[in-house]
Amino acid sequence: MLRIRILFFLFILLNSVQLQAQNCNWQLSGKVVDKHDKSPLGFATVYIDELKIGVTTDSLGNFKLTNICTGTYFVILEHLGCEADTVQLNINKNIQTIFYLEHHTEILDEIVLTAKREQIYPTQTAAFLDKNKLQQLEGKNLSEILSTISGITQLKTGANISKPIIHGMFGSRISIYNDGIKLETQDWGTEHAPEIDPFNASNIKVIKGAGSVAYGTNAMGGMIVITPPALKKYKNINANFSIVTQTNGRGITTSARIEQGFRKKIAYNLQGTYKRIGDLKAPHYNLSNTGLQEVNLYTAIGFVKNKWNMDMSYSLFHQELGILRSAHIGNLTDLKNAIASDTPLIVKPFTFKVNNPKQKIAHHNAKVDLKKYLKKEQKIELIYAFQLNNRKEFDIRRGGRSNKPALEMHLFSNNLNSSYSRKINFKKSIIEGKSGIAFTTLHNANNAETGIRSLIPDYYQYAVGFYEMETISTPKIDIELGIRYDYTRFKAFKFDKNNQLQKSIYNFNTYAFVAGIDWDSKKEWLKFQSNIVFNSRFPNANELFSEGLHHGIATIEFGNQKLKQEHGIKWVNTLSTQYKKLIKLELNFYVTKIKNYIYSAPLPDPILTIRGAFPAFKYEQTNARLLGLDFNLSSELTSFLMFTFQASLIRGKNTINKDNLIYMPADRIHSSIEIHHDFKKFKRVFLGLSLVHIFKQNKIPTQIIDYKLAPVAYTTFNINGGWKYEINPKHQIAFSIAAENISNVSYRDYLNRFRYYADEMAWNLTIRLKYEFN
Amino acid sequence: MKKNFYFNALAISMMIIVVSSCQKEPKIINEEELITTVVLSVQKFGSSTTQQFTFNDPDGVGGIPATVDSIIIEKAAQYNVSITLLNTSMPDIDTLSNEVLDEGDLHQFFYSSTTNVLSGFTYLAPNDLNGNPIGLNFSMDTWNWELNGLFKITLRHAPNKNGVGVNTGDITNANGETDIEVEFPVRIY
Repeated sequence: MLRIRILFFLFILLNSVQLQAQNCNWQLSGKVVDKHDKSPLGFATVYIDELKIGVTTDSLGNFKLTNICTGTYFVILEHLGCEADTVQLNINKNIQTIFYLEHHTEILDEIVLTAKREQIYPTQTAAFLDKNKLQQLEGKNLSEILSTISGITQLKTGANISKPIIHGMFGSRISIYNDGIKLETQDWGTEHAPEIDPFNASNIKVIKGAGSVAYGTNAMGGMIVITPPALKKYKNINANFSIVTQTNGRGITTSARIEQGFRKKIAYNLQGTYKRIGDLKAPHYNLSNTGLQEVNLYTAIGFVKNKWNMDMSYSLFHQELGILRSAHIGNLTDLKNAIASDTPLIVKPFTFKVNNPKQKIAHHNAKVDLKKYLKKEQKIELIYAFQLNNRKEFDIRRGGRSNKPALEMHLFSNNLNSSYSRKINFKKSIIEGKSGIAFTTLHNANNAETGIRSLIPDYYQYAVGFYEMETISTPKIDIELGIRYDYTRFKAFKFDKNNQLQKSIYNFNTYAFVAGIDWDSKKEWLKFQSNIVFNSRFPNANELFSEGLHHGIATIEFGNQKLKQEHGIKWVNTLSTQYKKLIKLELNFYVTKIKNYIYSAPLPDPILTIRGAFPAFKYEQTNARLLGLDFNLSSELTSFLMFTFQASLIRGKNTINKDNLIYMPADRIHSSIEIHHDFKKFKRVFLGLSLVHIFKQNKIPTQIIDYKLAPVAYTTFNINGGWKYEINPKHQIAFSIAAENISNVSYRDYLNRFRYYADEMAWNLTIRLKYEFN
Repeated sequence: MKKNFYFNALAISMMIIVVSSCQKEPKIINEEELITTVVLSVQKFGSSTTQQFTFNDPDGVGGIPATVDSIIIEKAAQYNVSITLLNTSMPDIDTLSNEVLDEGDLHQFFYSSTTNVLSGFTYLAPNDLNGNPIGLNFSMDTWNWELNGLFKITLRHAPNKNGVGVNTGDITNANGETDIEVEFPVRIY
């Protein structure tokens, strides 16, 4: 089981491998056993910290790690119900050994420590961003960080708002989970970025399949799972401080964290981030009013006693960001004028000040997580979370109304999940299961004082879901099965054109069924994963009820109250192979089919308004098919030289209208070369060069007018370098420097909705400094 | 398993409490800023009678289609025109042209017509605080013969009033955002 970890490690290796220039053919093998009764510990993790490689022991406690270079390493041992242990090992020959672990069921929070790289979905195609990788990307927003993964792209609205796209799907077709809870936000438009502070993630995982049924039914495209650092309830202290500066936008981001655990089995965690960026710059002009200010907080406390574990946390994400001033237009004539002009029509000197149009967002999340560990590795868990999302959008208005939000909504949500997990050993295989019930309530409330008719009506949504999942792990094959059913009642209050209140009630029944298999050749040179999911998604409030003018793109959009549920199938396959460290290949191919695919379809006649005539769109349903391919190659030609190549292709079709789907990512390649070396005190000294080439998107819809052709292909070059200095084992300083778009090329991207108005960002130099104490 | 049952029972009861909490109905949002109606008061030079022509879209974007009157005026004449903007969606009809007047430096009207039909557009007072035209009042000349065409009125928010020609009514360099762009059919008899 957990051979998927190898894939994660493969990915991590692409980024952070460091090796001594010595023999790299040693192997570490042996057994992990219980210290007291000497019984073998199956499914324990043996992980070499420096190499970021690891395996899980089989059901008899056996493990084997190969291709290890000569050196001294810290080997981390973990097992469900045991205190994690670290052993220092000098490897200069093949080593066979027995590791002993202390069995302490009450210190079970250790399970979460390395997150076990999610044992529960071994057959999912996933990508994993660990602490080191995240450290290299500090200061960037969530979508930018995720877009370093092949198959993940960004849908942008200007330079500072972006949302992730997984395999061509975004918005409510993907789900984001932070700290075990679905992020419930006002994710209705494209001009909306997820309310996540990446500084608070200890790791981020992207499941490119439909993910786990434990999370819900709607995620047809995939899911993003963000895990904050676990509360370590043994004696430990950890602190760090980061500072990131960037030249473009003269931005500064600082973040600090302190974690402490006590012998009394209490731990706390405190983290804060402050970010301020001024107007960004394209190569030839300022992108006026693209500044941003962010204040984020996270605090958590946890207790463990007699097999009970309770964790509580509260987080706040607070952001104010400007919308490109020249993207604020009144009608189609303005849009055509803006397009006709090569440069934005409004360019002002640099400022940190954020003016209208702007967004102010606050997201609160409070959570209580209660676990009880039972005999035989059974567990019951109850999680309750409350979230409040407050979104204000400010516009340029007449009559002194600019200080009043043009739109303000509060989204209140309650999530309550209860689950029961169990594990059965049967001969050489292990059967793990989890069953659960999930309740959700949502209430969206508009501020009636805005003086502008709301785009999304007030609504109440209640849902209850039941799920059951099983994984069967044998030495060679893992099988995963999951099933979920959700009932959702949706009640909307909408004023019609005559200000009469209309109440609409919908009852949705959605389902998800997941099946997957993971096969591993004995010699670990060939692996294959296949995962299929059938699920359904109900139309969201925006698709049902939206009605109004989208200023930035000069279109009128109508919701459709007759929409039915979408039914989707996504089939993802991953084939990976490797020859020592010389070459590693991963091929990922997928097909998604969606029946009743909801999309914005053009209406035949434009609509006449007092601002002139606008093209109009209405949400309609069709059938859609997406086909795609992600390719990853990495190679270590010598011990200090690393080469990587990634490519992604995707094709989306509206199969009824025989047309291309809109906003499909263009084909892209990414390649990098890196040299690295470890000196005495300076670890992981590296220098890398990478290039990203985005092809022109030729597969655009022919039946939907676009005012401007898809932009031409472009290439950007980036350089990065850095080192980690160990003052002593307890104190470390990491430094890195990254230059993006070094040739300062002017380009526009098909997936940026403001490509009508302005170029993308000019070159940017980022300096990152981090001090760590542990 | 028993504990699990208790957990679920607890979960369910907590959720019932949350769900059964009352549902509030939303308040009506008044569209304070919406311009629903453009009224042109047209007066022939030297005459004392005023004709009114209206572009009306009382429910805003979508809904019932907008209606527009045809401007029917005499040939070879000079007319003074005064523009009134209304918001009829409010409980009390609001005259939004007053807001335009108050923020005169941030607004300007522009006029155009199909060739020959109307010409000689000239801004009349009041001007904004910088002495630049606003254009709520203007004069125009009609063609010498019977002719049909279209007359377009544009209101720009935050235009560049110092742009070349903007002062005299040329929209080319005005930029800004369009608040109003309506076309009236015109018949000259």
